[in-house]
Amino acid sequence: MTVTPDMIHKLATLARLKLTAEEEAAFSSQVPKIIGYVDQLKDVPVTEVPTLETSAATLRPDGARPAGIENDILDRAPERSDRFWNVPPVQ
Amino acid sequence: MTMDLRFATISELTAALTAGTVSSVELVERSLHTAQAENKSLGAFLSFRGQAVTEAARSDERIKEGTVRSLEGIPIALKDNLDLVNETTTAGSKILENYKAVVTATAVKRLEDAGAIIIGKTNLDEFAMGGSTENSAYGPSKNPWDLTKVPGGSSGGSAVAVAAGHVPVALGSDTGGSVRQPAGFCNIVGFKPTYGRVSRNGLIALASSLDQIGPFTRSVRDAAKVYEVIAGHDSADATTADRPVEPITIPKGAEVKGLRVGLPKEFFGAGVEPGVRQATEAAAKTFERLGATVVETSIPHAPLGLATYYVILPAEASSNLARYDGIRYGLSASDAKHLIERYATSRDRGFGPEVKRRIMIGTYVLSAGYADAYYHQAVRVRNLLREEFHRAFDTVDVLLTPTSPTPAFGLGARTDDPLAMYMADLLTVPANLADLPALSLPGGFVDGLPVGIQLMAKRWDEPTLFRAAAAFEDATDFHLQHPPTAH
Repeated sequence: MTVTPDMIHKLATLARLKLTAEEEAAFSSQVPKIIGYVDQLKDVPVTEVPTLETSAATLRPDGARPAGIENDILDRAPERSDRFWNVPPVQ
Repeated sequence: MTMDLRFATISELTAALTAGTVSSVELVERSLHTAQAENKSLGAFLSFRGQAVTEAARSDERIKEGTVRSLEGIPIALKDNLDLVNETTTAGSKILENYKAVVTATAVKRLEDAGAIIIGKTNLDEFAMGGSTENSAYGPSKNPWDLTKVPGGSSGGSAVAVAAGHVPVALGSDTGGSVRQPAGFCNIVGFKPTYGRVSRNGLIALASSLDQIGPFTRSVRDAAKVYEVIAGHDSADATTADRPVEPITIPKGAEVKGLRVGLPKEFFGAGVEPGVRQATEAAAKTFERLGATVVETSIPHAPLGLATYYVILPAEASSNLARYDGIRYGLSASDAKHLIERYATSRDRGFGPEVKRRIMIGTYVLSAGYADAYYHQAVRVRNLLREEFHRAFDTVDVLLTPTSPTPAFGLGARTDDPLAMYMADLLTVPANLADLPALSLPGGFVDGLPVGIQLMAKRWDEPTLFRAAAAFEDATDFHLQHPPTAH
């Protein structure tokens, strides 16, 4: 699969990245090289391998716990009102 | 004999502190003074903590009272992706230039509770993405052995701080070799614990299935000591294992009789410089001389580790870094008047090129239509690697390899070629992919530059890993050589 400059532009939009013209040009040559390198994985026959994560760690039940730092977190926001983050209009 | 405080180990400093021949205030002032004076040439630190002197005075009180904790009064440094509450954590990025942490990282809190004194935060590749510390938004760190060379990365600042004699211990984070590789480049010990051993609460996330916090030290025993302090379950990091941390006991003149050392042939292949290969083979001979059995072994898919890593890492990093949106914290482009524009402009101004590049690759390998060919396939190959390591440890106790294919390379030599930069991780990423504990320690020199050798053990087998490493260290004197100190 070739990664075209058009695709670089589309990926940047999807990733919410604004790229300068120079960055777009650089990535158009670098990203295909990196993807070309990882393409070697495609030839590995791995049908026998379980796809489950076999990581060392164990998970706890997913549940909310008060951490007592809500206000500290909100304080880091560039703009906040009361218990909320301010966001600019969508359109 | 007068001890050289500058390059002393934790054990030596603890002995001097309890004997009263030096105070913690003196140690900390000395650390701050040398680190600050040399920061212009070495670029190791991003910030210093003047309050460390006051904290050291409290340690001196405890030493007088006889209530000494395991790291009482010892100056340490933290990679600047580790949080200290209400203090700045930049992660080497412009996007967090003014960010004040909300919590103290669990591993850091444990060091503080053991009496360690934090003198400052160290330089790193932006968000720990890199192998040279040249991707820091605040300028590169330099290798104290040769100022024209990189110190490695991403925890380059922490490696320099220990190697140059500013602190006896610094914490780093290791996602694909970011502790071990700079340790190897700088002739010190760098240790990555088993995945799930050390809490990442308060560590800025890079790739959550790979990240582990680990120490840089001047001796294997010091690394074990710091490990014992920071390891263990933490309810704030659900991936930490709820199993006891075995105490590490390493006798003087540690024994390796009967230890089975495997040399996985794939780690000695293409790309590994002859001098590095020779140093590692010489290390194997040392183990043999000490009574270990050395055998060749194989991890057939290890050469695919790097490709696997450079799919999984960007996939996880692009997801983790979605949180930097200019809304919740960090740099915000307040002149961008609409939501999507605010996101994109904030990220454009805040992120450097390597971070953007990895977000792009992560977005690509996770996108509909490509996720199975790239991300899911990489996860499958990762499982294959895990199985192969698991099988290898049926017949050997530790694996011995070079830490990096080459010694430290020149500043700027790889900055235009991301793939060449990634190659520096070739031999370290497999341990992260397979969750294994791994350690780099001084293994020789090539043309005056240090060569690190790497030991890996099976999951949770830190005791064997440390014992093997200590035996090698006891039998060699590479770790006693220090870089020139006039920077």
